[in-house]
Amino acid sequence: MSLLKKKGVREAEMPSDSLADIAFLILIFFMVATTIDMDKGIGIVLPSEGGEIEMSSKNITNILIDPRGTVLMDDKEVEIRDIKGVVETLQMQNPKMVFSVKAHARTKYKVYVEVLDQLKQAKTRVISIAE
Amino acid sequence: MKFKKKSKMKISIPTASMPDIVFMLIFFFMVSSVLRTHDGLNVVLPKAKQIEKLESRVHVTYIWVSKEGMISIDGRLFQAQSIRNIMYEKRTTDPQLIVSVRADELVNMEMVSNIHKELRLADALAVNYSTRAM
Repeated sequence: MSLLKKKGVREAEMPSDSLADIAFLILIFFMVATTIDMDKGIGIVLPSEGGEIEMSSKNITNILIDPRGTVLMDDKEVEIRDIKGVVETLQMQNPKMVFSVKAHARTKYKVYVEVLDQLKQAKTRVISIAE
Repeated sequence: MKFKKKSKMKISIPTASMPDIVFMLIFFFMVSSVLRTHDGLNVVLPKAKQIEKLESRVHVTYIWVSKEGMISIDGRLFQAQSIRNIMYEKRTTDPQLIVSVRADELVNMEMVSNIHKELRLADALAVNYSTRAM
């Protein structure tokens, strides 16, 4: 009988004070280790097939990019980093201005994205992609 | 001595439920974080400053374009001409489709305008050029 009675006399208890610390440690690990990698990029809407609209040429600024990465804006050479400023002034003069980006077949995609980025930075409303 | 005024009442925040709260947070993070690696081609994305986030991944389809000119959609290689059919099908099932172009920075614009042409034929007009943050 004495054997049976031994139960319950000693109270075994797991120390739970540090449980929160451990849990926090795991939490912080997960917060640091997970990268919620949202996709980022430059959004654009292509014109629908056959949905071309005629526009008065005074409301269009043509931006041409040649294979070497030189940018011509209305036949004037512009540095890529200066596009933003030029576009902002043009928009100020004519709020209806549409910017048409046309790239040569051998132009690198990188330059094209840089130009679009500049246009986006200048808060351009309408960007047209000429093919 | 004025400093002895401290009250003798012991105030303590109950910490017994702390682990539960923290575990709840852990579960939230574990469930909400997506550990999905992209199944695409090896590309170096171009850099840009003025970038916007894609709101959800649900409506996004990726087109991978490597600098060698390979095109991959959903982990399979395709010719540029077949994009229109794939995208048209996707567009019919999901009208809110956004096409994310993940092209290498050294890709020629010829390739990109071919893709544009195909996407226009498929009426998938919302496009996002994937970029790295500067």
